Amino acid sequence: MSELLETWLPNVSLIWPEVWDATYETLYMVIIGAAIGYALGLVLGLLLLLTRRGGLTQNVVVYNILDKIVNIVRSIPFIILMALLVGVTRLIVGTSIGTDAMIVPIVGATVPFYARQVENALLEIDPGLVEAAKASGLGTLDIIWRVYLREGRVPIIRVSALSFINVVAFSAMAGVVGGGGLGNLAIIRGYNRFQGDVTLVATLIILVIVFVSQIICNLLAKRLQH
Amino acid sequence: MSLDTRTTTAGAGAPLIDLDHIVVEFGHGRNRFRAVDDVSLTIRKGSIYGIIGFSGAGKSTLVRTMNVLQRPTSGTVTFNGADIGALSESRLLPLRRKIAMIFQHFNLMPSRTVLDNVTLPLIHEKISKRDARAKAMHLLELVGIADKAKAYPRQLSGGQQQRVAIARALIGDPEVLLCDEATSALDPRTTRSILALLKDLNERLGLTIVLITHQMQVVKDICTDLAVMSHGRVVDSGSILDVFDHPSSELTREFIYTSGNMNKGITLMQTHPLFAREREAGHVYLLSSVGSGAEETLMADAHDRFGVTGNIMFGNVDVIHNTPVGMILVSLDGPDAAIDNALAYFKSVGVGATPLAELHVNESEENETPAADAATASERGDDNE
Repeated sequence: MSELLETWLPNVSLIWPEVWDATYETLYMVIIGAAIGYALGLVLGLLLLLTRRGGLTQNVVVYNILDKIVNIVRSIPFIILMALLVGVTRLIVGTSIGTDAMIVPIVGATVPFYARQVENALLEIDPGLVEAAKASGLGTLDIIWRVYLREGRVPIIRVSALSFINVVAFSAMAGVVGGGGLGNLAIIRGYNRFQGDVTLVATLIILVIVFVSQIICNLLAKRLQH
Repeated sequence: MSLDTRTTTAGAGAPLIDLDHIVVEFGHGRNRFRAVDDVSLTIRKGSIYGIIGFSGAGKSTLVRTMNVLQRPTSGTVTFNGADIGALSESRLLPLRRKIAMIFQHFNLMPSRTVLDNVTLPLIHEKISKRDARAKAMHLLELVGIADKAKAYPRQLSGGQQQRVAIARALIGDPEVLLCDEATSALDPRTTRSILALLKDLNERLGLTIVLITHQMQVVKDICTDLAVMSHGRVVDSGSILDVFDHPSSELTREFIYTSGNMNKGITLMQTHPLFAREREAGHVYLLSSVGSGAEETLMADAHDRFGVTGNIMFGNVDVIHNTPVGMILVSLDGPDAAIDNALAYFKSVGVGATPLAELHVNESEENETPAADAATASERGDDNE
């Protein structure tokens, strides 16, 4: 078995510890980045939903401002966003290199993307449910918790799974500018040193991470669907 | 006259909801649209008040002013003597459990079981979860669907879902139940069973009911009072027998003919070649009466007294609140003067006679105009602030 690996993966077989370290770094960036990014994105998405025209607490001015910010940030290529956010990163983390530092731009890119996804997902909820809740005497907070977030569970899980692919992509790019992780490994080792097998293994591990996340989300969605 | 006593028994009780000069407008500037145009009406305790009209007539908007889901642009909404139209949202919340509502598409929460749907309005009430569930079970029994307590809404038929929605509406011990096209998505048989349930709740719990519909049959089955709406205005209102006896608008007459299937007979008489002779003779009349049942002997009287023969072409008798409501299409034959005398006699015994040429019917109940569609669209997308 190990001989076979050495034949097919000559370079990787020499640096397995490095591969596992990179995998850990990627998981760290992706999980923390997604957790913070999703939490903030959910709040922003709800704000968009509530303040939009016809929303529960319609506020055209607030909506237009949030809407523009989301559109602008989403339009900035991630690699440039990282450069732009370097000051913010130093302010928050104290440094601009390393996996911790990379979480800042990952969150920065995830929040507007995820917020828009959440807004669109929750727009699919039948307005009749909101009306019935209002007619039952439920207030705005009740409706957010008990109608939007509760009835929107499955679509939110769906867009979370979708957005996860983006977070992984961000983390891979972040790795290259000093964040470490599988992206870094694939480029610095695999691409720059012509060690194709390293690139291949890094890709496979990233695919496994993505697939596992999709499977978990699908199972969760299925369980909650009635 | 005798009808008035029936009116008071039918609409017994003190005023519960009073709408006074209600106006609701949507949009701004040139897109400004008046969905409800100066409507005043009083809903008395214990009554079943029907509001009928075509799509886009403003009836859904009107009913939403009663629980202030829709704030009126002007006018006052009075509930149990208190002006509620200008209350803050937080003070309206507990009130909405007293002015409960059910909908055309039931609007049950798909992720919750039937039981959890019914207890949902109680989340802020000072009641233990156990008591809330016990109360919900009791209501599910009342509406006849207790065996489905653990099911999810998607597993239920439309009629079953509406029963759950009724239980949810009842859990706050409401004084009035607003029904927004509550039977429009149901088949005729289920419609009848839901209407029977509503009538039962009205009689057993003294629950006042406001019923929005475009189906006259629904109104005839259970309503004590009726308002007819068109283009945001109430064009006719009163106790149901009053309205049937003296419809004051063209639209009301249309609804009445349609509900008695008279529209078909009228259309045939007006257009079919078979009846060309009667049509051209010009003596085809729609005779209508409420309560008297007089039309049965009318033709014999017409013949004996005036020498006028009547050929009955089409007829229908309904019973509304134990009162017969009859309509017949007759072709009268005889000298002109005799026919005039006969018509005067009909009037004297309380039977209305309308010449065929003056009858207007619609081919279908769903004659939505483009304007009506636009109205519905702006009702959804806009508010009036």
